[in-house]
Amino acid sequence: MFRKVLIANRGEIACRVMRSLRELGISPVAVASEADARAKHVRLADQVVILGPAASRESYLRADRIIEACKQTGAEAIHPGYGFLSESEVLRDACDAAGIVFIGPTSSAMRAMGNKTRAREVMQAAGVPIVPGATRAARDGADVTAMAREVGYPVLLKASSGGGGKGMRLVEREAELVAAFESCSREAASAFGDGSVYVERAIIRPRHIEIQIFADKYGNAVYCFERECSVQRRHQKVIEEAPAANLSDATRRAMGAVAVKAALAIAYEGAGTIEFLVDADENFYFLEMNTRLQVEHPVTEMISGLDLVKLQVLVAAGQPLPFVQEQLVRRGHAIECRLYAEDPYQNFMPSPGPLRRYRPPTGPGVRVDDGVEEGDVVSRFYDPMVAKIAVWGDDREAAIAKMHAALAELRVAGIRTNRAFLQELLAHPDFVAGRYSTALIGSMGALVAKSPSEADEEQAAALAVVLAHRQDQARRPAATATSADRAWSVTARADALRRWGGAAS
Amino acid sequence: MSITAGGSPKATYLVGGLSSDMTVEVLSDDGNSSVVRITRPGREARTLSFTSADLGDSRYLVQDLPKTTVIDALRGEKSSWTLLHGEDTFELSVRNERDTWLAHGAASAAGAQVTVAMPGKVVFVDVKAGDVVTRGQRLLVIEAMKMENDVKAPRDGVVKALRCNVGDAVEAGTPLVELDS
Repeated sequence: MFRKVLIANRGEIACRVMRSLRELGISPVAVASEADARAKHVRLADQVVILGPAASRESYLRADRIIEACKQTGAEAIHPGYGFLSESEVLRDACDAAGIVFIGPTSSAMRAMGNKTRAREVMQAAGVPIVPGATRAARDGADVTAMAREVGYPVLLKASSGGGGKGMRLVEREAELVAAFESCSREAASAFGDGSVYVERAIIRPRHIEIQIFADKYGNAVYCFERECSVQRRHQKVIEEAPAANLSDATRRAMGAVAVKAALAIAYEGAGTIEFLVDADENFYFLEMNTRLQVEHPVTEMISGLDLVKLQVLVAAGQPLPFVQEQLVRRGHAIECRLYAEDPYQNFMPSPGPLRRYRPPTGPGVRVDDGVEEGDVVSRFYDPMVAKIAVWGDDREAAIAKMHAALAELRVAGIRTNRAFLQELLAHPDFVAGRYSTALIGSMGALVAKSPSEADEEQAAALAVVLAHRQDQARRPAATATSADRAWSVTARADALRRWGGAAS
Repeated sequence: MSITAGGSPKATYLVGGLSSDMTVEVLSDDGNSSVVRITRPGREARTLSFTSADLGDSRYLVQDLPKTTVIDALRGEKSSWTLLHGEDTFELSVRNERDTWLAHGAASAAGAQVTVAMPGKVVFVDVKAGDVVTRGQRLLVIEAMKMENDVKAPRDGVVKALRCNVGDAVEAGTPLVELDS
């Protein structure tokens, strides 16, 4: 087993990975940008190497610096987390060249799946159903226009190297196509260092259901059930659940079998996710494969009792999968909400800033994965996700109730969050009924702020005024005794009474 | 609690940031129990007696018997306060008489400027001076937190001046585009 592993990531996922490493007795090494030099993931690590300036391109996306950091600290393996270089062949190849273990699939599996156009070809060849679309990246405006005409509107523009909802545009009319293509390409170039974009037929009102797979180096592969991620805003997942709300067991098994087949077709190793679009008749189409840990992996962990990160490390260290498919059992229902630093009342404008207050919920069946603590800053340089709040219940209804309670318990000040939006989603009749698609959020009107009661307003105003008044008084010169003096005399008096067996016990 | 709260207030504050402004007079306060009188426009004044035990860490156990609530009260810059009360967040300005007087001098008229609410980088500009724009039309694109955000025209008008270029890092509240009326 490894003694030291470097986590080539930041935020909540770096923190989460470190927890499993510690359980395995492995010393975690953090990397950080200058902006993150004192971040929570750095505080949790045993060692840190600063990679460069705040911009990802100059820090977290620098494979050369990350390899250098491994050599400098003696880390034997790299866990890439998700995003950043987690699906980068460049880092994977550099690891191989430097004799460092990359906790993830092989370069060839990554190449097969990392480029979405190539992935479609590979999957089609393996007999996996795919969505109709072009099989190559568009060159320019004229090219994309021709491609979209061939595929038929509405189309989805997707960054070939994309993921996590960035670099994707739904285009319904040709008039909007070229502008969307350029914007998509720009975003992709800036986020992934690759501006190539391809065209796919948009399936209307699909569900997004994905299968977690796991494979070792010895040709063993299993699927760890499904996750439903249909609650998406601008292709960004907001709420995920496991198992899917309404899916026949026959479809569930069929999707699992196809996913395992796909993994074996590319000699996959480690944790992977096969994403499918599922239509109203439960037909499913391969969407993409993520050759890494997913953001929403906690819901799978909660219903399966597995620690996916621990498994990733074991498999990367050359151990066989410790179970076979028949031994995997799911129990109960799990839901995850992504808490974003954004203002749901102002078109979800990002809201970075200092976390003047941050008290996440706790309690039985509540799991919070975060990369911040109170006093930290939610930086504008990185993803606006503050925390993932996941809950487990005996069934879906219990899980929804628990999530309501958890969100009510959360206290955040200093930034705006999407909590009210999450609450509205959880209470939406279609979500409650478990009959929703990726069109759910688009079908909702603008979020209307619930105004607080007058009594609550007055109570808050009264407290603020009293506190302001006390501070104004304290600033006034020539008072007889400061409040600190008073506190001392009150304590002394209480102590004296207690000593004498008085009433102040 | 029955405290006769007549007489003259010890101090008067103006509270903003709520559904309506409030005048709050502190009638008595011993560092724990307080009596205040709240006046809102067009309403009869209401007297509130409560205790506020300091739990440390800017948290207060407020008892307005029989109700008990923990309120987080964080003082910001100058007269701004953030209070977390249940699931509500109150961003208040709490001004004493002197603050109120000072604040009036700084009031400025709203201009015909398009600004953004957060810092970011200009990645695309759609318009130039002299362009006629309609409400909702995209004027430029700001990149922040790795996402592109459209900045749209708040109303119909003519672009009088463009105050930013592609590549500029802009701060929240900086005028980016000036619209003619």
